[in-house]
Amino acid sequence: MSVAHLLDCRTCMSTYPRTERQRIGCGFEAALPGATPWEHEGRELGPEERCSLPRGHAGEHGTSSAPSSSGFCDAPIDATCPGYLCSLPEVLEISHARLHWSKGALGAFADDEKPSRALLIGITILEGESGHAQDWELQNPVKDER
Amino acid sequence: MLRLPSLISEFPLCFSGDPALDLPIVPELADGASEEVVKERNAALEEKTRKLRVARETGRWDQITKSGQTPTIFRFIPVHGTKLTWMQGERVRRNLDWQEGLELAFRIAIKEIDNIGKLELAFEIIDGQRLLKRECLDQLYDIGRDAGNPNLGRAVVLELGGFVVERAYQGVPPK
Repeated sequence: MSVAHLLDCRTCMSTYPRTERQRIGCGFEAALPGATPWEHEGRELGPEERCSLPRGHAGEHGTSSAPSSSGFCDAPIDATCPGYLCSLPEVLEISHARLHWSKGALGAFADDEKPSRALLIGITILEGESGHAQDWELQNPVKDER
Repeated sequence: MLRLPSLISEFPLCFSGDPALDLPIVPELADGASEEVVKERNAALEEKTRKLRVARETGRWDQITKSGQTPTIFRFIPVHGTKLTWMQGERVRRNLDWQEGLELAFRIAIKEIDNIGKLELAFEIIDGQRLLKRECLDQLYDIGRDAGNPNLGRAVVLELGGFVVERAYQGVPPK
């Protein structure tokens, strides 16, 4: 799975068969227990990205998570493909809003109305995650294989 | 007109039983149905659920609409902040049962309805909140009454009210 496919659901769907996309948590398909979405090579999920319920709990991934040495479930909290998530209208809206927010023009984006709390929370999450991604990139530079 | 779900303006929903939607038919199971029939029925239900979920998440109802047809699109505003506080309080103050709670959620969140015929939405202000008038709601409850399906309108209001409540408490899908 290439990053280009993550940015283009239509191409991904015409390239990969349904079962393969289900394995990476494609949002357009029925959920498959134990699906593992794409992740940067070598990146481990942080504890905040893993389920902290007791191992074997009832629920979607309760019985399908990989065996964990701790007493916790440890399955990824969100098993949906990041490409699908990032193409959802609300996520794109937050991304556009963040651009305006970074220029101090969020009011203009919201048609001079008070931006909703959900929008502000979304911008905060995106800003925080963007910082995490930059940190990770700095610590894990892409190796030049020439 | 295609207007996608938004955190600041509105989100569109269609009723799962809208005949303009291109969804698999899920047959009723007869007593003693064979394993094969049950399997087929479950597969159809799963496919219908998947198509509806994707349309709700992406807002692309046009992707599951039958060619040449137009579904009825209900446009809701997000219920959050003081609106949500008031709605929660109202349920407690008036001791509303679950149907009345979903009806209230529908009334407080509905903004527009596309392709609903002659019905014109009218609103009233109660305790500072803009609510759909009961007379309009009664007209929605009458959907299907003349076609021998007197509970259709109720099913529409309660199903969509349920999604308004879900979104108000759990945020935007997927979960």
